[in-house]
Amino acid sequence: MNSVKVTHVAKSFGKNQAVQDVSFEVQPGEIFGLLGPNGAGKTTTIRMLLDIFKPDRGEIEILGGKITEEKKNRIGYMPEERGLYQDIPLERCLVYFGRLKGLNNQEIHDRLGHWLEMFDLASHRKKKVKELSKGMQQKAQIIATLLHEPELIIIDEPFTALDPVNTQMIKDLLIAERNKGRTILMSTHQMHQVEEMCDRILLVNKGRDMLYGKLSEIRGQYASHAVLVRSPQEIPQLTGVLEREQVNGAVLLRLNEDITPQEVLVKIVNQGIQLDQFEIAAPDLDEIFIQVVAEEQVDAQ
Amino acid sequence: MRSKFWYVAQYEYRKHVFQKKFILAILSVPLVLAVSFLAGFIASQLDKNDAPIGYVDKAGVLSNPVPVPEEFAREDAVEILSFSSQEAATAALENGDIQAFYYLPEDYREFREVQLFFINSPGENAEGDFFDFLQTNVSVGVPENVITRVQEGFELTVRSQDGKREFSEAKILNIILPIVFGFLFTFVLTSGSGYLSNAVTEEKESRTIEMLATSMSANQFITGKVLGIVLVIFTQVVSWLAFFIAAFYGAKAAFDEEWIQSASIDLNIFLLLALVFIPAFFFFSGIALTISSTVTESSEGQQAIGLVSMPVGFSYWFAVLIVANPSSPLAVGLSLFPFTAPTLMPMRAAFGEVPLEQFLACVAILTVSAVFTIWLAARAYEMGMMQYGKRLRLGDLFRSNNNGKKA
Repeated sequence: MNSVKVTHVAKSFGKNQAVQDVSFEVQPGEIFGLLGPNGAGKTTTIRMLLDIFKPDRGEIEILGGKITEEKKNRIGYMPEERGLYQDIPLERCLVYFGRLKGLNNQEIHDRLGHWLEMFDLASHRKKKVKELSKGMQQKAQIIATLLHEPELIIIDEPFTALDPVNTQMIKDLLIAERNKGRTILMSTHQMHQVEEMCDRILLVNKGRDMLYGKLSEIRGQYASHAVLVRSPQEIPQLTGVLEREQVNGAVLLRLNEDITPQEVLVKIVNQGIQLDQFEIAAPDLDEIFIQVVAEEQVDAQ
Repeated sequence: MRSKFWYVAQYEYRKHVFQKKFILAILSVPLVLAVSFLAGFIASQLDKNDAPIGYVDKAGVLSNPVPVPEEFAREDAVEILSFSSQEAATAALENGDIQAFYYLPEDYREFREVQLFFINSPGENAEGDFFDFLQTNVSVGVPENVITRVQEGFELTVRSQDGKREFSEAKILNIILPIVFGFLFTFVLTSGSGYLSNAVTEEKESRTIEMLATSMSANQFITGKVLGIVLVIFTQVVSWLAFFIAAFYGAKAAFDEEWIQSASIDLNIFLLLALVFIPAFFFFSGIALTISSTVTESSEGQQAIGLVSMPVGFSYWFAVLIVANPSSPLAVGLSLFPFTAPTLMPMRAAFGEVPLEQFLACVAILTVSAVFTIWLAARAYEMGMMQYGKRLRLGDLFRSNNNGKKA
């Protein structure tokens, strides 16, 4: 059973077609990335998943069927529009959200202390939410999302307003949640932030599916026939190399179709060149996205 | 596990009630009453003068004066002095020995007229004491039961033809209370419009609406909100009621005034008021939340709620007609109409006999209207919740659309 199954959903607001045709499945225990630029339709798709909007067409299944009131307790959602009650103490705000997710008093108090300690918010628990910094509020929002230990975690733009230290902390946290068997659906336009985290992705643009599948397969699919070599020494001319390009202190070697990366590696090693890095050059998601959009525009023309 | 709307109600209640401004609002009414009472008390004390009062009796009514019987005399009654002539009394007055004196002419028995001489107006207490003294003495020789009856004074009781309703001085509170509480209802509705209009806009402004929408249904959320707000209003009303009852029984214990001692409260009046006001509060709260869900800013909501509560104020325009004929078709119609029922049904009950079926119909109409407005509020919330900064039109609530969750 998939945690989420979306089949050809579409949604428009007046004349604005926010989502045209999106389909994907999220499998249990994976981190799934719903990626795309701003305005691609990611948030609208998530809101349809969560029954905030009704799709104009298409089918949505969540945790094995239509969403129900009971299922809402099994889902943790961190919206893009962060929302906490500003005029009440942090602790009361989190207790309230915990209650609304079906936790009893004892469960909330057993768990909340741990989370507040983990995020260095324990000494701020009695402060009004509006007195906390943006970063602190972001962390509080994550606590509100995870406090009830949901089976399915849906996070929209998780790294907004976080510094690099806290960004890494959230990444580690989400990976830890995945390792506990929880399913994570993460939506972001900051594609480089999630490359190393996602098991599978759906890349959307202008409300349509662009790329869907395992991240490694997609990158392989878009990989050019090239290797990236980093060495303190000069890389000599090698047969089978069509062109070379300097990339961040390394050398990108574009290869002839007749030669494999392994053969290039053997040649370099045989010449006694010291290697700091040798890898098959794969494009990052930003590059893939640009390539896909460009191809689409060409097709459209 | 409790239903989630209880947590929403609890949150809403705590948010308003445990606030300094709410406590001040609760205390403001008894404080104003206490200040008014104190001002009245001070004014009455300023009218009091304990100096002796004199009289000159040329009519022979007070030749052998008898004191006022103990059961009718005031505890701190002023001393009453007799003077043989007007000159002697005037001298005592000018000397400051007495505050005033009465002159009973020879023809007093015939015309029952006396003259009062004073330099500064005498205290009301002194005038009252002399009246009791004179009344006691002119009654000498009259049978005991007649004297007692005269001393007790009269009480006017008006009964309806079927004997079911009666007005009397002792039960004046039963007439006053429904009217006072009708005003109180209007006042609470007006003063409470602040938190009514803020009820949902707060969630919109704080962006918590998505968190809530993914935690419970719109019906649970709105029901919780309405319940919380109505409980806040009830806390206010019950607190004022408690002050009123405490003040009433405190006054009974502290003052011997006959009208206070004879006054009584019919608990049925409170039952009637509760049966009308409870659904009425839910009805108006539902309307307020519908408005709050369709506007973008709380200030807009407050203005709109002000407009909705205007019919409650307008209902007093019909008060004269209701008092003149509490059973007229207009009175019956307005007392059943949800916007005017909370003020006019109690008024009808105060001044006339309301048939049980009409009263039950009023409560039923208010209850059904309350359920409808709460449903409408839930729909407005559901459809308008994600339209930050965009106004939802009332017509949209009854139209099928795909922007909201439900088609």
